[in-house]
Amino acid sequence: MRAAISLLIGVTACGPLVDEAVFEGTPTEVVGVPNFDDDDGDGLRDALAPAAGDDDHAPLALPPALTEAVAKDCSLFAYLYGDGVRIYQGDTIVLDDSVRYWDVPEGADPALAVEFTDYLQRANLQLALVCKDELIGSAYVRLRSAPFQMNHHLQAAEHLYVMKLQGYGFSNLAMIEQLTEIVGESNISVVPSGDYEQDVWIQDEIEFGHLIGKETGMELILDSIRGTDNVGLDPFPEDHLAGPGVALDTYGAPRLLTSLDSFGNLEASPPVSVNGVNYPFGRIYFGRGEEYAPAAELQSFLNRQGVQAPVYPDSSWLCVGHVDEYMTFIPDPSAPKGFRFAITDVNAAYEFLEGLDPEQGLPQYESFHGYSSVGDILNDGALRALNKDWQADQVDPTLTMMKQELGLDESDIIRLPLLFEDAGAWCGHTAIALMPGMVNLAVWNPAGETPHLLIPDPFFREDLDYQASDPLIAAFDAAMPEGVQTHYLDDWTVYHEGMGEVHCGTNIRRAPSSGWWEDANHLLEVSR
Amino acid sequence: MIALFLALAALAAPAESWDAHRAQLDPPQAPWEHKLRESLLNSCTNLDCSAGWSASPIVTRAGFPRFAGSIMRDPAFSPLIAERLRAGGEAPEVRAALAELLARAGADLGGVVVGLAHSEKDPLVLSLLVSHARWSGAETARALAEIATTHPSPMVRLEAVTALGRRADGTDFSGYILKFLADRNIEVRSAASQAAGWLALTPAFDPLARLLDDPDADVRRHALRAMGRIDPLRAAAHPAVSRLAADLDPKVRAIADDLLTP
Repeated sequence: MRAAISLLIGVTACGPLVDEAVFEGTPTEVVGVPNFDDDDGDGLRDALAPAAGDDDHAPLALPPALTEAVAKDCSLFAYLYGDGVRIYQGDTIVLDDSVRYWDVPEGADPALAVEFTDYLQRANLQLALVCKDELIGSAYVRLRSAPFQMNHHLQAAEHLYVMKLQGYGFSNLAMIEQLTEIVGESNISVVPSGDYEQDVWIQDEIEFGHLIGKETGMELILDSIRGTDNVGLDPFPEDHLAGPGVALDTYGAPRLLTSLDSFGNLEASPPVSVNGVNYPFGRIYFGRGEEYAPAAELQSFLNRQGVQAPVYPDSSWLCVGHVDEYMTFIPDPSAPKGFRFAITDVNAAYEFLEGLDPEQGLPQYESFHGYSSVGDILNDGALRALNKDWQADQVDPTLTMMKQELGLDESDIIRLPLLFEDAGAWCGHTAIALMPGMVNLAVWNPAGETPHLLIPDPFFREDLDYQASDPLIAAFDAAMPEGVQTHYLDDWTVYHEGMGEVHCGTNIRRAPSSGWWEDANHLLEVSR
Repeated sequence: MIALFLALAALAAPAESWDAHRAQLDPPQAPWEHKLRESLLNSCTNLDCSAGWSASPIVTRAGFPRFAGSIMRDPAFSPLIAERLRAGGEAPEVRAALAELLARAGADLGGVVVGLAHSEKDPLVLSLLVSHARWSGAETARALAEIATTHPSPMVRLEAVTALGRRADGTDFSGYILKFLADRNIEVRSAASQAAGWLALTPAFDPLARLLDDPDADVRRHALRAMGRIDPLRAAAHPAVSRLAADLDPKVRAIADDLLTP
C-alpha cells in the first residue's frame, strides 16, 4: 500500500485537467450496520452470502464530478484500509478484505454501497484522483459499523410476547387476559407454550436490541444458550422473530450452561452519567457470582460493544440467579434522571409487616408457602434471620455497587418490601421470592403514553378477589412515581410458583434509541 | 444455582394410567405400605385420582420441575403422590418434584414418608423427603433425622439440619444439630451453624466458636453470626472475634466489626 501512495504523489506536470473541487460533497463518514439478518431466507446471515442490492448496505454517494473526471484522462483510485467491509458498485464487489485497491473505471456509477460484516468495524476508504501523473487531490471516507445496543426501559414499548400455559390446577390465562386489555390486542403475541415444551420463560430466551446506522438499521436479538437443540423456547426466535430487518446472534457454549446464562439476568439501565462520563444508552448489568458466571464469550462480546459498559452485581445468592429478581428501573417522567431505581429491601418488608394486624389471614400463602397469617411470617425467626443475612451480605453491597457504577444517589432509589425464602434442596438453599417479586415487573410504555407497570399481584390479603383491600399493593402504589400507572397481574400458579414473575414470563420489543456515533464516541474510544 | 436445562420430554406423565395401575397394585408388604394403601383407596373415592396420577409438573425458571397449583397440594392428594413415588418408574427429576409436592402438601402420613425415605436411593429425592422434617410431627422428624445423620450424601444431611433448624420445637433436636456442626462437609457445617443461630442454641456456642478457625469462609461467617444470635455480648468478648475483624473474607470482617461495635 505504501508503494501505491508513493506513486500517487510522484507528480509530473502537464497541468491538471480538473481541480480539487471535484471532491466537494464527498462524505466524510459512512455509518452502517453489520449485515446480520437473512433477507433471502437462505439460512445464512446476509454478510456471509454477499449479494448486491441489500437494503442493509449503507449508501456511499460519491460526487458525480469525481467519477466523471475519470473520463478526462484522469484516474480515480480507491484504497480500502481496514477489515470487515465490502464496497459494491452496482452488482459487483469492488473492494473487500482481499481486494484493497480499485481503479475506478470510466463511466462508473458514483453510487456505491457499503456492507459491514461485523460489529464495530472501522475502516477507511481513500479516494485519490490522479490526472496525468499529478495528484489532484484525495479524500478519506471513514467507514464504521454499529455496536449492539441493548434496549432499556425508557425506550418506547412496541410489542409484547407471552406464552400461554394451562394444565391441571394451573393456568396463566387470567394474566394473558389482563395483559391484552392493557397493551391492546394488536400489540401482544400470545404463543402456545405447547409448541415449545411448555417453556414459558420468554424473558430468559432472548434479549432485544438494535443495530443503528445513519441510513440503515435492524433489530438485533441476542438468542441465549439456555435452550439449544430445539429444547424449550430454543426455536422461538427463528420461528417468530427473525427475518428481514431482524437478526439473531448467540454467544457461549451450551455445555457450560447455568441459569446465569438466561436473559432475565441481562438488563440495561436507562441513560446515566457516572463521574462525568455519559452513558447515553445506559449500562448493561448482568449477574454473576464467585463460582458461577454467564458465558465468558457473551461477557466478552458485551464488553467489546463499549457503549453500555457492563457492570456485574452478584446474583448467585438467588436460586434462579437473575438480576431481575431484585432490581429494576422504572420510568419516572418527573425524576431528574427520568427514572427511579427500584431494589428489594428486607427491612422495608418487615417494617411493612409490623404495621399490619398479625391476625390478618393470607390464604394464598398457606398452601404454597406454609404461612397462614402475617403473624406466622413475623414469628418465623429463621426466616427473619435468613432475610437479614441476605440483605446484609447481598442486597446492600449490590446497592452500593449500583449507586457507584451508575452514578445513582439516594433520591433515585425506591426500596421495595420483599422477603425471600429458602429455595430448598434443588437450589442448594439459595434464595427465592416469598412474596411475589413485585420488583420483577415489566414496563409497557408506548411512545407518548403514560408508562404502565405490569406487576405481579402479591395476593397479600384475605379476600383474594378484592385487590383494593391489599395492603402490599397500597404500599407499592405509594412508593411508585406519580406519572406511572400500576397494574397487578395474577401470575401466581405458573410464574410465582415456577420461581419467576411477570417480567420473566414476558418480553417486550422497543423502539430504537438514538445514534451512537453522535453521543457515544467517547465510550468507543475508551473501549478500543 | 443449578445447571440448566432439563430434558423437558422427561416430564411426561406416568406411562401407565391410574386405572391400570390400580388394577395391578401389589400386595403391600411393610406396615407403612399398608397404611399408604388404605389412605390411597379412601382418598380416591372422593378425588379425581386419574387426573392427579397423570398430572405433569411445570418447568421452573431455575430449570427443575415443580407441580404448580393448589389442587395437587390438597393434603387429600398426598397418598396419591406418595403412591407415585412408591411405584417408581418416573424420571428422577419428576420423582424429586413429587417429593417436594408431598412436603408442601404438609399431610403427615404417619410412617409413609419415613418408609419412602428408607427405601429411596436418589439423594435429591431423599433430601426432599427429609425436608418433611420441617413441618412434620416430632416422631417423623426424628426418624428422618436418623436416616439423614448416617447418610453418605451431604445433600441429605444438609437438608435434615436445615429442616430441624426451621422447626418451632427445633431446640428439642439440638443433639442432631450439634452433631452436624462437626460434619466433614463444609456446606453441612455451614447449615448447622445457621440452624444453631436460628434456634439460639446455647449449647452450640462453644462448638461454633471452634468453627471460627474453619478454613472455609462461609462456615466462619455462619458460625460467627450464629454466636452473635445466641449471645452477642459473649460473642463479642470471644478472642477469635477480634481476629476475624481482619479476616480475608469481607463478609466475615463485616460481621465481626458489627459484633465488636458496642
